Amino acid sequence: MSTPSSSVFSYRVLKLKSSDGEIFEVKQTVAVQSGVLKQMMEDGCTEGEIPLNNVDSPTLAKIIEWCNKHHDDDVEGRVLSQEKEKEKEKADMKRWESEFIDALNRDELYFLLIGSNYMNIKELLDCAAQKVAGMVKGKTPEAIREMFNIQSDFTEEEEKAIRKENQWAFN
Amino acid sequence: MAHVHWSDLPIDILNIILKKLKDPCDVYRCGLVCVLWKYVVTTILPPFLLLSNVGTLIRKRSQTNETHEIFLPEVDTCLISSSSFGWLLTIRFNQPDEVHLLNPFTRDRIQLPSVREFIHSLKDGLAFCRPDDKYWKYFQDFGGSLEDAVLYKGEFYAVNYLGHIFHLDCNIPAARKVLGQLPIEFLQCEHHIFLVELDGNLLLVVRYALSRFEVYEFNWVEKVWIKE
Repeated sequence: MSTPSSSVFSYRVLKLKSSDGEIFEVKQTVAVQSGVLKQMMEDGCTEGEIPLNNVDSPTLAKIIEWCNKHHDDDVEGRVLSQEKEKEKEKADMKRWESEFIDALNRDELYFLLIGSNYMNIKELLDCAAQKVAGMVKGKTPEAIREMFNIQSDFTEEEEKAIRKENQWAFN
Repeated sequence: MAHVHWSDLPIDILNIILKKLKDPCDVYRCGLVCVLWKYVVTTILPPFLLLSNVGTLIRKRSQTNETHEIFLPEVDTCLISSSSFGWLLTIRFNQPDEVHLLNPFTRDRIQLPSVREFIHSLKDGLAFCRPDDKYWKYFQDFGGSLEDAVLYKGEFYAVNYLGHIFHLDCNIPAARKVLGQLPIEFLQCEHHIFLVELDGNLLLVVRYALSRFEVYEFNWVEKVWIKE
């Protein structure tokens, strides 16, 4: 631990502190999926608790579950000789991902978007964003507002003009 | 858990979500949800095409071939003469004739003066009117058939088949030739000319036959068309 270079990836476990004060221990090899944590590891500043002020404990638990699933200890050592086997693993992972995302309620999905964006976990953010896109697809503006409990903040005149100009989109 | 406000979703996340929507119509609909979403949508939405179908139907078509038909009884038996800024110019040759600007989305209609007096005589001329005018005013003497006209930096310009460009002064009204030289080799072939304003430049697009295009930019100092 004496030189910066030796501190890179030298802590085997990171202590992540959620916004509500809960501590989660995560292996470095898992945490590296987060762009933010990876940068901190490279900069050698992962000693002690790492506060994640934008991520509460239920969300952080979900994020860690995702990262654990997507991390493979033996990826270097293990030889996947069979193409078929690789394909199957890929398909299994896709299925796991969609089950993981589909099991979330809307609030959990929202916090997962915020959390994965904050921690810069691209694959998770992509997956959650894809889920929202699927929910929005084919819906009228009215239905989208209702689904996400969004109040229209257009003025009365704007709302009127929007409906008049876009009758096709509201049907 | 804190209370969730989807309308507070950060712009960069919203951007990622919207870009995953394959159908531009879905993106467009998201733009009608609230002010912030509208702002984000306007930065990424591709343009829509409008196709007209025998005068009574307008289709709004996206990249994914989805079409939306809008029934426009207003244009039944009308000639749809041209379109600009989302408005259609419709002419119905009744007695007396009816000339309107029609916005196919809002269905707003603006009546314009009758075109009876010049529709046949004004072959190589232009006419204009301002709101509430009772009559059209004319520009003539363009030294050859007109090809196109455009609004450029608040002024109107027209171009004839020779590539001569004219400034149209609506106050007099008079057309003044800006460009005297024949620049161009395109005169030998069958062609159509279009004036286009792009990024503050005045461009001349020449279309040969069906598929070949050339683009020229107007040089205001030399008063010549420069091939792009």
